[in-house]
Amino acid sequence: MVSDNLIELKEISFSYPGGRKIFEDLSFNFPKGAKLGLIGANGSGKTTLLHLIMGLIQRSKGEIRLFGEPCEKESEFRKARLKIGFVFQDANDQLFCPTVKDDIAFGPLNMGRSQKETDKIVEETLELLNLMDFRDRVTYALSDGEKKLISIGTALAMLPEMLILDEPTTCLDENAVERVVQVLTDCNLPYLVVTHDKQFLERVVTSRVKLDNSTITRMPAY
Amino acid sequence: MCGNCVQDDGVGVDLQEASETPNAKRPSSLRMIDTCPRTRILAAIIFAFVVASLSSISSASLALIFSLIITLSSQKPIIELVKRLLVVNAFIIFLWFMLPFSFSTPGTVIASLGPLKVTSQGVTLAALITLKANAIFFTVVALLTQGPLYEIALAGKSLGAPKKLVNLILLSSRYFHVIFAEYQRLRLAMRARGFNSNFSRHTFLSLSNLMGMLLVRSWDRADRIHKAMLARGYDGDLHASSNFHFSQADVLFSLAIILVTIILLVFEWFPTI
Amino acid sequence: MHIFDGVLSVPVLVTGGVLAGAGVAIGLSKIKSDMTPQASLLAAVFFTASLIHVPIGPSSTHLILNGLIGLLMGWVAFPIILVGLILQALLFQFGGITVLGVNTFNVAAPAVLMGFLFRPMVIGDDAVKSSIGAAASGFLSVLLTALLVCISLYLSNTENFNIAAQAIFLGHIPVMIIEGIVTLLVVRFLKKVKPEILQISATNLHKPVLNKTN
Repeated sequence: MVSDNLIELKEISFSYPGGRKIFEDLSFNFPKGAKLGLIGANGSGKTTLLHLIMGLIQRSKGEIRLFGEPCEKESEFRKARLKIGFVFQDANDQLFCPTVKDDIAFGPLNMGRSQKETDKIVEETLELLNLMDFRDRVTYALSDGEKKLISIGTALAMLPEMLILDEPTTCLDENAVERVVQVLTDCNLPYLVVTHDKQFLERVVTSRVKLDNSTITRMPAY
Repeated sequence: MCGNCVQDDGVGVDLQEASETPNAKRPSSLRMIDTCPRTRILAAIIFAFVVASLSSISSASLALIFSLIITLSSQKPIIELVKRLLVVNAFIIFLWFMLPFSFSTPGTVIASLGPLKVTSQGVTLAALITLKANAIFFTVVALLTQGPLYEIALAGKSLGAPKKLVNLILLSSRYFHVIFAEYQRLRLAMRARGFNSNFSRHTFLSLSNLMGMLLVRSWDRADRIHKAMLARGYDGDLHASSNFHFSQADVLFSLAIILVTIILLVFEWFPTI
Repeated sequence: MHIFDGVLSVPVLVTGGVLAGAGVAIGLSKIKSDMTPQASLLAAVFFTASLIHVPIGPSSTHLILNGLIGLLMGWVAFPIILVGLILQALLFQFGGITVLGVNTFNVAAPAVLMGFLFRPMVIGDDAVKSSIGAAASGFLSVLLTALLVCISLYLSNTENFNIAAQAIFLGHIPVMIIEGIVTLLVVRFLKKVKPEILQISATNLHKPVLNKTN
């Protein structure tokens, strides 16, 4: 049976080692083609939820299906991860290579693409971001807005089937936010975006859900 | 293999334990926590060097027994210690593979595996090292990881360790956790982009870039820390205050250690007793 | 690559302690108060690096990077490595108190030597020379450290540690190659991203001893 959901969480429980319980019996579906916003108070576990979906942390109970496939082991998550472009909250956590092109090439090379294919992907990604002359710039020296765009680029370069973005507009000025909106519109992919930024959300998503106390509830559409 | 990441993460968890558990003041039977860190430093150093000088199995066995008594009285969680023991003994195991077979002076052959001859002297030497290594390990860990590291550093200062060295220890142990957390976040983000540490050019380049990035960011962070320190009147010294005093527990503990040392040395010099 | 307590003889431990003490004293005299945060954070980074597993074929090793420390920090390598070993002994609870001096000397002395031999080449403008200098620092520093470890063992028990020492040396040949490669790549990263680190640390921390005492 082919599932209609890209992401399915069923009765997930999670707590940090020795720490407080974050989720208990949490369920969540991300349907095909959705452009979904996830909101919730500080500390409600939004980032934790995203890391659980990516298999970067391990749940204590429950079922996760990504692209219809159950994900249990690291190898299964690894396969699914390559199809999800994940953009971290802090671009500094994501960008560690000397230049922009190295950072964009990192994902495709991990996927086993050849240098030639990778070079082509780098060019196309920079074009999509409208940052063609940034190819050889030193990533560390870029502005926050530029870093954010590049970090979205590093996710897009893996040619994913969907994107997950964690607080993509934190610390960005209006102009930079504008360009993030542009890139999200241009990339033509489904995405799940976590944010506190209401104005931004209104422009990029078609539906919203709210995470509160281990439950995810649908919010009225715009 | 992702095993690597998991191992790295494992270390991270241990670290947090290591830094947090000592703060918890557990009641201890000998109330070792009551002893002054200065006493513990001196005791650990004297005991460790005396044990390092031992050359007979009987005295080294006795040293191991004493060290276990000290460990038990410090009430350190034993499971935590066993994890470290494995690492410490990895080299010892290596010596067990080498020494029994490679004793060069003509020794008493007690077994042979083809061309390899096992000598009793080789086995004795390996056993001696095993006893001494573990005796020192237990004592040092029991005595010096009893309280937070900064306490030991400050005690070192009051015992005459150079001020600059103590400042280095204080600052680097403080920021090690920050940098290690930064390393873990970068590593997590690499995993999210499908990074798999294997024996390849791509892996070496990626890990080197990661290392370089940690250096660059720490350099800038150091700059910010320095400015923030200056803003609060930093003049080259951290002025961390310590309030050490020699209590009754210290007197008792010092006497115990002196007694133990004398017993060990007597056994060393008169092994026939 | 360090020796645990209980293996070496007391004369070797004491000699190592005295030599390391001298090196640490020189190193500390090079740290001006405004460089303390820099030196502390580098110590923390190098300690973090020692926890990174780098694959060698199917197995893996930990980075040492003493060549890089020497290139960046010169004599300050001594206090930095001592601090790293103290963190390992106490924060990680691995012990290693009697051997603190020997281990510091075995790792830091090659680091300082690499700084003197290759720093000018590495911070220079010639990219090829810089790469060669960096790779040589990484390779030779581990080679010399392995050699010093063997000498420490050999002097402790000449007849019987002989074969163990040889095995340790041979076992570290792959580590030398890996350290050469990683040092080269990290230096390239620094040159591209923040060349000041190489320059500043060189000028502020790296004046030869004589200049200062005269």
